[in-house]
Amino acid sequence: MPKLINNGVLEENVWQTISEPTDVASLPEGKVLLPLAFVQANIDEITISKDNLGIIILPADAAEDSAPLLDKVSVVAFEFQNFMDGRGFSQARIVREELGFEGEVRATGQFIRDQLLYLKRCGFNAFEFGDESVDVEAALASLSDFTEYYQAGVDEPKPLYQRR
Amino acid sequence: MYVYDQHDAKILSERVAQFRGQTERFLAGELKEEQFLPLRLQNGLYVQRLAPMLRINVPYGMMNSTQLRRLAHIARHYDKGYCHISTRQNVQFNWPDLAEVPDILAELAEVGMHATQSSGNCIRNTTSDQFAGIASDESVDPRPYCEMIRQWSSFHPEFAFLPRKFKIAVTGADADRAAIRVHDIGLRVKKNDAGEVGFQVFVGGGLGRTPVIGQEICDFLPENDLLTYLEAIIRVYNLNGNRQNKYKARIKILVRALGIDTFKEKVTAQWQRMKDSYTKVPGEEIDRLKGFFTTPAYESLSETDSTQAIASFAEDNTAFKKWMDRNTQQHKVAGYSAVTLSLKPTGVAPGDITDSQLEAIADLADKYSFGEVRTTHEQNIVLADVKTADLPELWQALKDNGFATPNIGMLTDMICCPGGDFCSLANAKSIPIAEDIQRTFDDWDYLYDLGPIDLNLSGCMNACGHHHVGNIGILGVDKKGKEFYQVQLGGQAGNDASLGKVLGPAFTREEIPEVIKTILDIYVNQRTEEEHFVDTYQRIGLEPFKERVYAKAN
Repeated sequence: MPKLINNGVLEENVWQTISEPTDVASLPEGKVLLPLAFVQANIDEITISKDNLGIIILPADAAEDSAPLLDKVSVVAFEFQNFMDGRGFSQARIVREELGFEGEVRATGQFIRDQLLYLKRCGFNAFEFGDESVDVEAALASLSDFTEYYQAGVDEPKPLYQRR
Repeated sequence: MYVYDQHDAKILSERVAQFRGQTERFLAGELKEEQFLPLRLQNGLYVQRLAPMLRINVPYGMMNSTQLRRLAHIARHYDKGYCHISTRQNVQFNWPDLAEVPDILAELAEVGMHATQSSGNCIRNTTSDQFAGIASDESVDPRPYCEMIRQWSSFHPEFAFLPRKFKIAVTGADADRAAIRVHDIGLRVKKNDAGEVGFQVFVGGGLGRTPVIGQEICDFLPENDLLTYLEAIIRVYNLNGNRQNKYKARIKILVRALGIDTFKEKVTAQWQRMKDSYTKVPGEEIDRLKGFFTTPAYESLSETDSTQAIASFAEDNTAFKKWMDRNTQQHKVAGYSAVTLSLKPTGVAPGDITDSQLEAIADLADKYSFGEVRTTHEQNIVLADVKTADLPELWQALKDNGFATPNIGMLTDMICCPGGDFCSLANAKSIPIAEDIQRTFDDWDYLYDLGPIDLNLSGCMNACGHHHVGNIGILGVDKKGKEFYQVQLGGQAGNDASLGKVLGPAFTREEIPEVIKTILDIYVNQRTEEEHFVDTYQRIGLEPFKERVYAKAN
């Protein structure tokens, strides 16, 4: 299984991503990430425990729609289909800062190493690279490109002037 | 002016190290071309027609003499001995070597300069009035707020991958010299009846392929709320802007598609959720930033004495008088003047400046203007705090260094992009057309008689030369591999911002001087005594110009 960066350390990824689930009955055992729309539509039938359930929010989804589900999941994943599409940065802040989600917020797909720190500042704490050629160990270094920031972020809610 | 402390310096040195690493990975083949692209752009590095181009930020146009000398050094050692003042108050180097860019950035960081977000789909350098803090028509100095925006927007983690670039301009004066209505967000800082400071906020303006005049989204935003409100606007844009088509990706297209009312509703809803966050700026921080923009140690002078001191020199010296009328500006402090150094002498690409000229300006700034200068979006340089009594002496020095062309605001003080000579986006050259016009209109009496005219020239529809808001706008177009020039009339950038109208079919380069001449003839014949070019245009419309120009052409 590909490596995952989780809270700054490398881990095995124990979650399965089910991008196109057909129905609740055919879902596999274990920890699964399911599309937001599927979970919304089937919430009454899904009996997966919070520990084993996560949702995937796509760039075009309204992040606020995840609000009623957030106490039923332990992972919210944002899929980056193209690293130039920065919607996930705003979506994650909404889920973290406005909806108060405290579980794992994971970036999946086509983001790049050089975005890791900004992603972290927007509330991401787990990174699953879609590109398997990425040297994940080397990529870890990019998480500390900066150690000081001007503006508030999820990681440091006070702007620099409150810390000067 | 703002002075970097250890925090600013640390952030900047971390940025230089980050970009050095990225450049090394790219050169070693570890970072893909398309992945390096936005990273280098956000460090101001374009790949141009002949070489990379590096755009250095000059935050809201303010620079000190140490920084000027460092730019001179960079021009001399890493480039071909000159640089260019851009139409957004920045400085561009046209010939750096990619591998040396990290070294250049390190040299800049030592003097508190950088290229952060000077390009790319992010929040760009905030621009302002070149007379900020000294203009007699100003109610609030915009610079502390510009610096507030600079810090908040620099390395903003959420807004580095927007649908498209994002530009903010701020003015605090009655006359808008910062073109705020043609920016993604335009801010007018003012006081309300209770004496509280706040902002009139415009959104969705811009030039480029689809020029739009920005619309008001808020008539008075309290100063403490500025950053949260900007954050709300840009979040709405980041989530809803067009990501399929880059030509429809600017915020102006979103605002127009939704309508200003719906857009405002979305922003207000978003803002309600974040307006009391830590990003709300407390009064103490505003005061701290204001502390960097205190007035310099002006001497207590009398305006009459100062004017009298130079009166006899001006009387004996028409050239000086003409220069003073055109290139100096009233200062809010008695006995002081603001001086604009023209970077538009005939035969030099508009806005270009050499290494030794940069050093000369640094020396003059130290001697006459508290060691500071401002760049202007009209691509000139301002010494903002000169003693009026020193003007004759300064004028001599400016003449010696090629800065005393008395054409500020005149036809030959053109805004002009680098065009096809340098830029890979250009459809046509622009610099040689500017020179043709300068050579054709070389009679000073005629130019002064014409009065103020903004002639703006762009080499392509991306409109870096602001042709849409020129009283006369010239746009280079490509027709089957040949360069032609479309002429527009009636644009203006200030308080009554409006977009020019296309006169008709485009002309060849050779035809342009004659076409401009015809247009000016019509103005001269039709104007009433008080009318500037744009006033006459508004009164008589496009038709008389069109008829004569095309009658002649045919």
